[in-house]
Amino acid sequence: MKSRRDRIDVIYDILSAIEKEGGQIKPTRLMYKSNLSHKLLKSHMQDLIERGVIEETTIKKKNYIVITESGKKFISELRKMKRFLESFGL
Amino acid sequence: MFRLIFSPRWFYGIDILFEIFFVFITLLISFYGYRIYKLSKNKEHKYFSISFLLIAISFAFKILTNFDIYFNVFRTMKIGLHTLVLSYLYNSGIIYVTGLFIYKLLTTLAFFVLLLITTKKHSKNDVYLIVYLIFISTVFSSFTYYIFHITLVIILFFLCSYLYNNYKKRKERSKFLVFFSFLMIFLGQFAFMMIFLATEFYVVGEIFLLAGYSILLYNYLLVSRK
Repeated sequence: MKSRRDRIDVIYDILSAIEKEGGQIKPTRLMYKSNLSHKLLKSHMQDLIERGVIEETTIKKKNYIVITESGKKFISELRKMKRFLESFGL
Repeated sequence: MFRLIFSPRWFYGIDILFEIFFVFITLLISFYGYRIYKLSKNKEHKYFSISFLLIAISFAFKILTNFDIYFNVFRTMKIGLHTLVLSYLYNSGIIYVTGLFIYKLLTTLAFFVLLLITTKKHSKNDVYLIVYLIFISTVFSSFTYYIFHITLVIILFFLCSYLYNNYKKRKERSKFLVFFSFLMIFLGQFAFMMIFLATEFYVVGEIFLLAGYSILLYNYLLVSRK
């Protein structure tokens, strides 16, 4: 059985989902891609917006979530952290 | 006040340099673990950081104890393979006894916490019981030096076997490095157990620890700088 995702995993899944879509994604697609409920996604997004990692923007009257430059650095930092923890079996 | 020294005379002070290096590495890993915890809010990550902090503090106490032994030496006597050290500072015996006790207690606790968070499945009662046993074995190891190292060898054996299985599941270099570093630390403790055969085993043990912590540092640099 797969263990419960912790906060690092969830944030990583959100950011990598945006990255995989070319740096911008619609909120509903992000919800599906990151496997989160609307409520949980909203709370994590709020945190990530405050950190300056992602931004909400409107393109052709449609809402998008965009990863920022510091977000790209942040995801690479998360990748390192995950690799570090995995090397200890955590 | 008299103390037992297990190190050959030519190695006095070199082990202190090694241990300063160990403090630096373990603090670095502890700090990185804390940064991860700040982000993840995962208790496992908090305990991971704490366990490396405990190792760092324990080495700091060992350094203090070694300083006390090596630089307060009044007269030494050889008894069998061991050196009995007579010190002119009677009250410095407190530093020796307390320092060694805290070093042993914190080291054992640190590796035990690491074992707990990696193996995951345990009840609170198991934890309380084992903490009690660690305390008892530390108290009695004041009289029987080897009990401390035997306890550590057992904990490290389980830790190594877990880390090896972790590596076997998905063969990655960083997982192998962590397993290998703990294997070196395990062998180091094993060598310390053999001191009754020759004091050179103390040097062998310290060299194994140096290899182990250096590999941990290498892995940290490899993973965090990629």
